[in-house]
Amino acid sequence: MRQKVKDTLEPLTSGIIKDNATFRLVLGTCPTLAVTTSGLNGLYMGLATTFVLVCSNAIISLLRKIIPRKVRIPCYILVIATFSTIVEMVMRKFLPAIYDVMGLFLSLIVVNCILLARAESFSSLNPLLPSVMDGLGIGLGFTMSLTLMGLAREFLGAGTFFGLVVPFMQHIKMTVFILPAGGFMVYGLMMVLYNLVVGTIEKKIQDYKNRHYHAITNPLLKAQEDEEQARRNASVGGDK
Amino acid sequence: MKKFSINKDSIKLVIILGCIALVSGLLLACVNLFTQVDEEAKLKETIGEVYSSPITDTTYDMTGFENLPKAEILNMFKAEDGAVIILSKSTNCYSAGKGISLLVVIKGNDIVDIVSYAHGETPGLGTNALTDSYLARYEALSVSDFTIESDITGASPSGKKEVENYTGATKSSNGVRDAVTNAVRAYVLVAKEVA
Repeated sequence: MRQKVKDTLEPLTSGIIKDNATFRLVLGTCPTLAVTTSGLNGLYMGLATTFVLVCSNAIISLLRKIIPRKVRIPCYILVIATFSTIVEMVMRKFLPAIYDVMGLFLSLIVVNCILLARAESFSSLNPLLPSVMDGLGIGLGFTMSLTLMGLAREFLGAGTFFGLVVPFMQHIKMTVFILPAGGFMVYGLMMVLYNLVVGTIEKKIQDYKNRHYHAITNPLLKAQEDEEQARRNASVGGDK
Repeated sequence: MKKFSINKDSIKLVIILGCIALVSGLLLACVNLFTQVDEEAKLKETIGEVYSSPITDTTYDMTGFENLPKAEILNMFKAEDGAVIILSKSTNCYSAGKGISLLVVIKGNDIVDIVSYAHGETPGLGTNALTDSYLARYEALSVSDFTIESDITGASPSGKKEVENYTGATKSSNGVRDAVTNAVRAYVLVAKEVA
């Protein structure tokens, strides 16, 4: 039972951090650079993509045994296009200001490679629940990345934070950060930072797991290693 | 050359694809029923927020009116108190596709109010030229401050008094200037004639 829950939740956590679509898989770069001129824009774009991802993953997973292999791509595109059009219609009606800012990029969710990649590599091969979790994980990871990038660009380029004016930034704001060139700069820098931090944490976790696994599976080897370490420490002490 | 043939598999492909398309179409039709946007009602609602006097059914004949280059008058309404509310659009800006649409309220010789209605300018950059404080500079002008020529050949969109462009938002400022100037031209050449 515990293993089953773990298997179901694994795609969720992995999609947010380990397989982050923006900073790790470098997918969906077009909306990432174009829409992240402010934190709110990034947040709304991410949430719209998450909705489409979850719904399309669910439907594709349910239809995976019915969709013939030869026409799978048109079928996936049809499902994705349906949900992205629904998002567009709903946003146009209820969030017109955000709809105006997003403009073309809402329609372009249809050809966002994250959606097609997840449909092809995950939801067409897995049952409903893991597929929904995968969509949710990848979508939340994408939302997090877009929001962080938007906030960084907005803060540095416009001197605001979620639209609120930051007084001390008004004199030192650098407009280039909300222009396309600044988008590339922030994207590159955040990718480096993300991979540095997450990579270090992952390495530490892996090291800890290896050591823990080592100690449980091979106590004799562990004892030998400890002895070796003690000898090394003693020899260092002797040299002094 | 391979001979084209219809077999059981190809019929299955068409049926499945057709079924998915049909369900998608039905779903979209249902959503559309609840999310349809009435543009005219939305415009009238915005005008109600901008100007308190109710609008009349007066219509304007734009035949013969020549717009400035990259500018267009989308709609004109007359309020009960005699003011004219003009929805003016200019694509002489950064986001030429979306353009800048302004609601310009003119009464007598005064520009009463200018409000941004729709735009696609960059937040924090181009939008600086669409703030109330920047648009208020145009509100300080009067209709007679603009050069009005019915024949636009060789005419400059600038007027007798000019509002300086917003530093760092030059293209958006140009769009605002053209939209306001075209609205004033429409007021003088079309609306005033009717009045």
